[in-house]
Amino acid sequence: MQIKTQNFTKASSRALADEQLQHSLNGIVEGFDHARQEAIRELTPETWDTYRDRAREIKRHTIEHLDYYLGLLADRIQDRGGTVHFAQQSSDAVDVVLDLARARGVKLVTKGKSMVSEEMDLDSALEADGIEAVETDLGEYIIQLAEETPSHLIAPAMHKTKEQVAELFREKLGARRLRSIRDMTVAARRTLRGKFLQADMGITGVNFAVAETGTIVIVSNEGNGRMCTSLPKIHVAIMGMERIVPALEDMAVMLRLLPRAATGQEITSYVTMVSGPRRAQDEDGPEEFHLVILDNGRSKLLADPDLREALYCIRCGACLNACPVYQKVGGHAYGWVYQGPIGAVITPVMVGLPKAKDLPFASTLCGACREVCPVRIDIPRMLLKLRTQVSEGDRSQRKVSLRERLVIGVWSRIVSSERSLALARGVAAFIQRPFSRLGHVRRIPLPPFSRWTRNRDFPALARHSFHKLWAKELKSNDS
Amino acid sequence: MTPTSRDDFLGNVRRALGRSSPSAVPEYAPLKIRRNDQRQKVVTIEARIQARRAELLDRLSNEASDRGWQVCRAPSSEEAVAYLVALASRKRAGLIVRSNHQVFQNVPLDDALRNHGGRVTVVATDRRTSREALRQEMGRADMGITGVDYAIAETGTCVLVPRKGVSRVVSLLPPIHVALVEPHQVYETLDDLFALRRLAFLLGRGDMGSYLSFISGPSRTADIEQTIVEGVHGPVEAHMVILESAEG
Repeated sequence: MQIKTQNFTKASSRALADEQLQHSLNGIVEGFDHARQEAIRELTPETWDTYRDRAREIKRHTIEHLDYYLGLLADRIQDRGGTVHFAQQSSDAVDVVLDLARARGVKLVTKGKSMVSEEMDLDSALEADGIEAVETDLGEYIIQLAEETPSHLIAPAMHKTKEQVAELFREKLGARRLRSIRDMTVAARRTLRGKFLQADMGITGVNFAVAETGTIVIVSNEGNGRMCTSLPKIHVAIMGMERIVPALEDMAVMLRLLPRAATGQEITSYVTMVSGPRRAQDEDGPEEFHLVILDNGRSKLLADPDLREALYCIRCGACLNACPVYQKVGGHAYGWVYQGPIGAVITPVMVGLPKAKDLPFASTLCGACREVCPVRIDIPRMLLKLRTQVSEGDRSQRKVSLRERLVIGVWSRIVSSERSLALARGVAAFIQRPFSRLGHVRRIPLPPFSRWTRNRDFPALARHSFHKLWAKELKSNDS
Repeated sequence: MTPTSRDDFLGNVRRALGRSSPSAVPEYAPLKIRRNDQRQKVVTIEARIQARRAELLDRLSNEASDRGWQVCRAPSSEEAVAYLVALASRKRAGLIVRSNHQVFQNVPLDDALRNHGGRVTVVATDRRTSREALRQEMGRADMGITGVDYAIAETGTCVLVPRKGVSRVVSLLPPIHVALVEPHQVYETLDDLFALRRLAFLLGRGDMGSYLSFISGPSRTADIEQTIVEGVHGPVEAHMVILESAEG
């Protein structure tokens, strides 16, 4: 996917002014975040926390021994007749898929939802090669038809209204009289059913890979994942290298966490576990199974002990739904595949900090992301670490301007002594007088403060400072 | 074909982890359990399940309803057949496909459905029918009926292990899926199921079949305005018939 992370500030201003997007974003909070909370209440928060601790330990252990488990996974998949391809760069992974498709004369590919394939820009690479690639997850299908990009990890078309989808389907599918969301779903079902039955290759993502048994796990609700892994002659699964769990029995806790955290479901309609191609005696299933394991910058996260835990992420999207910044700016503002708090951590490392230096600042550090994370990833801590890198890194990456450093320098001088603080306070209280009303300053005409008051009021200084009150009244009351 | 060699790729991962040589086999308890201990684990599970069968059937039935299954608890196989016949005629299901699960030996529904004007095709390749023909049939069918290999009470889930006589898509292509569950197939938790499957893996010299399908209700989406619609690519309706007294 084209990297537009540089435009975060502009894109978020646009998003804030987009009323329809704001409405859709409210829906995400109402829909997903509330459902998640309800599911946890039902399970009991204590049990939920036990699962989170367990899952975090599974991921911690796996990531600390990632080389071993990747080797084991590859061995076990090969034992079962599958082929494993390692790819350092996303372009390497694209080459693997294109080579496979060309060698077998593939004309039509049906694709399950895969964020990793978005990293690779796989659809356009296939199209450029004359191969039709059809996204089959309803949300992905919508944005493919609209030639847009996903705006949410698990609800990629959340920014579209049903009216827009109806118009899109009318234009692209010739579907008329789409009155309800059900009608639209049926229209998509009809079109895509034909594609499933004709496809030569199915491409899917991977939610989890079990090293011990050489199994990939796909979690889905629509059934398109099952189609892609059952009907075409070739199945190619693509995974980020961190998707592993060691043992089959680890899946129990993962399957309890992911759907609840993502949509508040106890379990998704389907969980599909693939261990290699079909056996000779099987009724159906692909003759070939390929697994592409992609690094694409993940080893940079791995190499930094402070950022390593970003690789524990199971891509549930809970941190997006809970984030006060995502809730206002939506997914497109983040400018790449991964949105929200977790995106603000992994994107700068994967695409390079200079290109995405605004993202670590796209957070209030309120900690909601850490609180909802099913594997307890400490996202605020990592955002702070990245902010430090931005402000203390080499000059080209530096975000902090000379003026800002000057202001901070003066500020720290003022607040470091009681006398200078009292003096500055007195001066400020005098200056604010003509501008303050009802306890708020509406407009400070002096930059850079004027930028603050352009969008919000500034709380005015109280008439009497705490120091004065303390000296006059409180101290004596107390004694 | 691999653009990055396995050694280069893993070497890079190793360097990122700050190691110079391959890590030794890590200590990880679940992987340490060998065949006999895993078998013992499963024996313990079976004993626990045995003692609580009735309670588990209730839990399965409740959870399944919550997942959107339409649940029928059939005290006898006759009642299971009656439910299926009634469903088929209500839905005007002219073309029915079914898997070749063992359960159909005890639940003789083919003749009953045919007597009501339905055509029943068993999806199992033999000399007479090609895969392609069966796929066409499944694509046109109004209803797909399967047994299950396991059911999980915790989640209201049916688990199918595709193999000869058990297609991956009888439960997927037709708009209505009916799953017949026998009491001895019901387990309590996801942990139980994975313990069982791991034993199958260890006993099968690393082979546990190529595919495992967990099905928990009808296919659904909420991709347009977070509005839940049932029936996207898979079935619009999912029915679970729990045979209360079938022989295993």
